[in-house]
Amino acid sequence: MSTEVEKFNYDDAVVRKFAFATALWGVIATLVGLWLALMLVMPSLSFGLPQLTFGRLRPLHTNAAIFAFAGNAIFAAIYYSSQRLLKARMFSDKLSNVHFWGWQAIIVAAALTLPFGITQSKEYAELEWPIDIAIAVVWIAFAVNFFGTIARRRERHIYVAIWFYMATIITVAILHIVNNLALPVSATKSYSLYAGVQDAFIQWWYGHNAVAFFLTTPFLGLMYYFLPKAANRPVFSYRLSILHFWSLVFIYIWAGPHHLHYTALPEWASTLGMLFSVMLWMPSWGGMINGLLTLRGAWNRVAEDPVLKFFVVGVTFYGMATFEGPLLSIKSVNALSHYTDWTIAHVHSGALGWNGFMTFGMLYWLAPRIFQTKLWSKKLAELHFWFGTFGILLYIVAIYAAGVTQGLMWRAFDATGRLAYPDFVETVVRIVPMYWVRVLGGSLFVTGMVMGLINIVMTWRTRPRRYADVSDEAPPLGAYAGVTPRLEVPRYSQMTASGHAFVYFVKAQWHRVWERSPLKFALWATAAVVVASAFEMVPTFLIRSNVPTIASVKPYTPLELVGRDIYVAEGCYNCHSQMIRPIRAETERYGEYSKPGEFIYDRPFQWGSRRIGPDLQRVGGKYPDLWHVRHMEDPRSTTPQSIMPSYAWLEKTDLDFGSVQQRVDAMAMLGVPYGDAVLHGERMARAQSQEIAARIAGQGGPKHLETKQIVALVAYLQRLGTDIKHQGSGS
Amino acid sequence: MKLSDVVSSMHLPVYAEVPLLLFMGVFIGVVLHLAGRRDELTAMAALPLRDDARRPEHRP
Repeated sequence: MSTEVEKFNYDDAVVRKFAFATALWGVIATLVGLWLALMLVMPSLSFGLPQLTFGRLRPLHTNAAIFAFAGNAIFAAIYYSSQRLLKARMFSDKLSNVHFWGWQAIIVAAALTLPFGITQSKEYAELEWPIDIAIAVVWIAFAVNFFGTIARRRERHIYVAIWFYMATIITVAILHIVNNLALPVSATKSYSLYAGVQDAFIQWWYGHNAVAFFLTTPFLGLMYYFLPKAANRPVFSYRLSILHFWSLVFIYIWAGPHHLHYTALPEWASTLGMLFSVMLWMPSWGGMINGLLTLRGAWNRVAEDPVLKFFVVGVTFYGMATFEGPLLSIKSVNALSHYTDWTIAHVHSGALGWNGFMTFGMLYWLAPRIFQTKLWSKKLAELHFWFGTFGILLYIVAIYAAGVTQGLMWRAFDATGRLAYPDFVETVVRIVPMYWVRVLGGSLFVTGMVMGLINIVMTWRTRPRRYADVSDEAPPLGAYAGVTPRLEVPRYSQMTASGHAFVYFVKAQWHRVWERSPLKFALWATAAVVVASAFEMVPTFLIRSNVPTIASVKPYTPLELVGRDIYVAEGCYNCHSQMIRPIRAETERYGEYSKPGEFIYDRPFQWGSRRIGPDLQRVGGKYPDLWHVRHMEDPRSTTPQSIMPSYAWLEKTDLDFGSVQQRVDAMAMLGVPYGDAVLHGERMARAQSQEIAARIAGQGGPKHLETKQIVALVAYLQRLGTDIKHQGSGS
Repeated sequence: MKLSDVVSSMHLPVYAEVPLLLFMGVFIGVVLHLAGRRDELTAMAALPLRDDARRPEHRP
């Protein structure tokens, strides 16, 4: 064995950049969230501007919180901990910089497109195809850099945190590519390759696993590295951490369909999602217990160390959120909670409590080390902790109360068997006080975030004139060659060859080899993800009975298609669902429950995930055209207590008839039987817009709307859910 | 015969049971793998703390 020792230094410059970006984007993401919370009680805050409506800004908030705040945080964690755990500088400083600046450019691109209605409308995957390609390129640069560092490592064993990072990189790449497959119509518009039920299934396979592999596994890697460092104690049980890893990788990927209970998704897929979600309790709580018990013997320090305080509350929120997640996946609970603010409270306890607090624990631990100076103010960090803690508690308790109230009111019947609250807006008015408490809680949390940013910036300002090189030394990996102890399995005389082979297998020498061979390890983690995904996807796509066709369901007319695209661009799905569940309270309120065959031309699907406003699946024909015009112009003119913003510009903005044919052609390429519309899309759209504009004028409304966007939107809304009413026979 | 014909004729409930068995197998495998590696695992758990022991970094 060679005794040669190599000296090397770490690249902390990239960690500093990601740490700064985390603190900055964290403030911006939560400020936008606070603005949105205010809009729910003061809808006039959109000031009549399209770019400031709730529907357009909510995706900006979610994307900023997930990909800008949490994303930069996990990259800071990965770049800092991987170099030290692998005893190697990052593979390429250039790739590190490509990753950092590329990721920030993507965030800026999101901020410049989402408020302008450029969106795919898939939750947490709203960004349009050119940005999706950029994400894939930057992610590949990150992956090459990360795996290149592993290849150049000087530490034989790959610590469990690195396993979590590997699973993240591989799985996020698969999820992103599969979910974003789309046919471009223009530089800013595309149609999903999947339609209706399949699109919904793929989206929530992605959506759920984005939570799993972007907001959970990398943060667990962070926890398994930074928590032992902060406590100055090894992880409580390394065994449990390995069990935690494999259980999560094998279980999480199956759980996505629980987002679609009682929808038009086949029941077997929904049940499978529920079962695996309930199984997640076991590894998640194992991980939480492992995290908290790592502090054994160090609890006395929690009172005086803000870093440990953040970690303790962060891990506790992980336990709470992962208890609640499986609970919400149980069908009977989900029937009450789905589409209500309960889900929003759950998401925020995870994102603010688990991701947010783990992030700030890490940043406060990192700041003195990466800036090579003292933390500017420990007191301010303590204050941040208390503002954050009380902020989250106020926020989520109010929203839990709002969610349960909504759910119970929606399903309540009076003594005569009629809906107790038939007017949807009654259920909105009831929770407005809770929305105000949410604003208060959010304000406290944002204040804490600002304190965090100030503390990081001020610490940076007291940095030394020139950073000292952070160097280390270790023997090269080759020095270990041949010294890996072989597994000795005694061969007794009574033992058969197959018995000996079995014992050898059970002793799992093969897994010890994987642990040191990142390529094999990565391949098996990929196999776990791909097999689980295939088990759910293949039947969903190939079994025809899953999506029975309905003869009366026809493609949207060219004008309705354009109107649908306006609905998508305005982000209406952020407040309105298009999915009536087969539950009596819903069919009484909205009409016939939704059938899978009704959505075969919906690219992308618009089922939504919450109801700030009522479901719109059967709104077609419910009101006259003029009602829709007046409602969009000023929602309070038709529903005095409505909290919907005004969409008055739709009456003034010209419809882009020039793009109609492109849209129709793209849909035809995806297999929609458009017939004559392939040749005369624009002409057909103009003819239908004339008809609708004439009807609106005839009903006493504004004249000459035939060239305006409102006409296309009215055409789409009036078509919604009506095909099934013409159903003579289904096949 | 198309692939969709083959898949359509398959017995669907199996899809809810096979993954459960798969997971159970993997779970048991990992548990067995972890049995009896006390010393090795103790050393692995100490990996994040090694650099602190050898080269104390700047402490606040």
